[in-house]
Amino acid sequence: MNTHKHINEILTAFVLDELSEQDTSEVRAHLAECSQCSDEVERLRALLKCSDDMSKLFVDEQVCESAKRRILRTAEETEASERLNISHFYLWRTIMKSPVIKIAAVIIIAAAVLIGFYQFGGSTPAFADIVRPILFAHTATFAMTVQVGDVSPFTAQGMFMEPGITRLEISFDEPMPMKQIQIMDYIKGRGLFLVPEQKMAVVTELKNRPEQMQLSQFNTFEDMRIQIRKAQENADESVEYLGQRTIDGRQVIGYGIVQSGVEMSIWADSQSLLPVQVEYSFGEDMWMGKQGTIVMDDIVFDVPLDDELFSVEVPDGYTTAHTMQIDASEPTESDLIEALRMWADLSGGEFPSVLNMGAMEELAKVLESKGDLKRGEGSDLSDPKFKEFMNTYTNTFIKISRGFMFVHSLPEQSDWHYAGQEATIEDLDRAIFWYKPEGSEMYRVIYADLTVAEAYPEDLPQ
Amino acid sequence: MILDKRFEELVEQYSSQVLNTALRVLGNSELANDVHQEVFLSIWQRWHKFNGKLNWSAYLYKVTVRKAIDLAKHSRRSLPPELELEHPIINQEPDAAMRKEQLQQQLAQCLAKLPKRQADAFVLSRIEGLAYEKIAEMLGCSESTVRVHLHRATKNLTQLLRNYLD
Repeated sequence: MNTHKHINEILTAFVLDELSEQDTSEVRAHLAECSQCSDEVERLRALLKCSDDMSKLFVDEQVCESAKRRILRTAEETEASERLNISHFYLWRTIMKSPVIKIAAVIIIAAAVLIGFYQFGGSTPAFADIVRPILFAHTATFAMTVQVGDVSPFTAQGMFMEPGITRLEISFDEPMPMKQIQIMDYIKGRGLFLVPEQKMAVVTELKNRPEQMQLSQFNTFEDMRIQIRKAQENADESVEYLGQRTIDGRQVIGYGIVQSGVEMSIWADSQSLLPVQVEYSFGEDMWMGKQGTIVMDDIVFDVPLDDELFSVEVPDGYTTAHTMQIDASEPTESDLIEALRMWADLSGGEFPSVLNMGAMEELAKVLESKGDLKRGEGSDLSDPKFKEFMNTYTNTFIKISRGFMFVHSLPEQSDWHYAGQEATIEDLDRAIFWYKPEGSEMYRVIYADLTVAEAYPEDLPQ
Repeated sequence: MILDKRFEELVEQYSSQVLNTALRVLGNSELANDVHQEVFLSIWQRWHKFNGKLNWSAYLYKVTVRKAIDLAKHSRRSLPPELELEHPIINQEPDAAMRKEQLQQQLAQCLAKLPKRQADAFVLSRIEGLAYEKIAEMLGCSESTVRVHLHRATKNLTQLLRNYLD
């Protein structure tokens, strides 16, 4: 198994001292007889020596003192913007802690997990061994810990059943200890969220699902399998060997994937090769400005599970609080324009300062100023005023998110720019967003009046 | 105008961190000073937007690394053309100190060619010497992901700097 190619792939882990003793010995033995790998190791060591040298540089104390004085003087001469308005953040925290927002977050996370699973791939025999249980399981159970942005982390017990049904039992600690059950049937395009304590149900319906993508895009495990098989057919699709570590006293080996802005790692028992932990991370430049991590562990395959656990019909005795329509088609430029229009309508013609989830804090300020929700209200789902607010807010949230998703789905080569921070909808000729569609030499430019035109690179704003 | 006391405290507490990080990436104290000014001035201009809960150390590490790399990318003027990647010195034998300096300058510029998170992971781990756990917290990802970024960055930099490392 330890061919030249395999050894060559783990040389970085070797110089970073992250291999097991056995692997280290095998690499050393190979280096003694392979000049190509041995030269590569020399180069890697020279690079690390260079960075070590850089790490030893320190700024003189006098230089530091003078820099401090300079910045304080400059700042004194520069007018700062308005003072921090604590109440805005207070309101945002209140909203973010509300159950409905968490429901929306879970949907987004579920989509993120799907996107992440697209990226599974690998060509080394050990990786193929590790992903085999995922490829052939009929059911699976797992524990999941989710952390998104500054929202308190939550844990969930997850179940999967073919063909494409998932059930999550989620526990929140804030604003009060609470349990929530989420069932998603991607084949039916329907989801159900249950709050057992309040006997409350929220229904979600996926619309505009692309025919061909019903199985691959909305079925987590099926999609994983399709993507793994596709990757295995492509020898150039590589995964990163992460070496060994210990999880709960078990020796595990890991493989990582970072491509197309997706980061994932999979750790498997070094003896049985069964997946022990799957980690998925999304950074602020990948998932619309919200950083987060999902860790799946305690993974067990082919457990007998009752079909009733996966029913998406509202159970007897529950009240349907809200039905959310989720557009599952690929977001387009029109969605971005619609999001900008909605934003401008809500904020007296202004646009968001950034096009990511962080901008939702701004939206909260706008809604507060419109008097839709006063601070401290609204943690009870049965309050009619809160229900009305959250219905409006959730739909706005979903639509604006969809527009932002278009931006973040653009490839790096699209060279997109956003310049709407200081514009208003009345600045007719002002370009606020531009990008280069794939294969085009011209840019698409969205102006502040939300009209669109095409422009050559030299005609773009500086 | 009167400065906010909290801003003064911020400058007092973190100036040395910002300057040292910038110096280590750029290898030039004048440029490090520029990064220091830019970092704190941009914070002051958006002072009202900062949440009291912010982990300033982590935030400043990230911002400083990004600004320093960005500056390295645009400061080719400080390098003679023969030192640029496309025209490495092959036939000459510069002395060890000069070679070391050239390699450091090229490394700074090559960081700008990496995906941002790879560059962050490399600088924070190999140049700042931070633990994976802390980097993971800063970048909002798992420690395994930090490892992946670090491995990728190391491989990519070795490729980009091949002519200087041989």
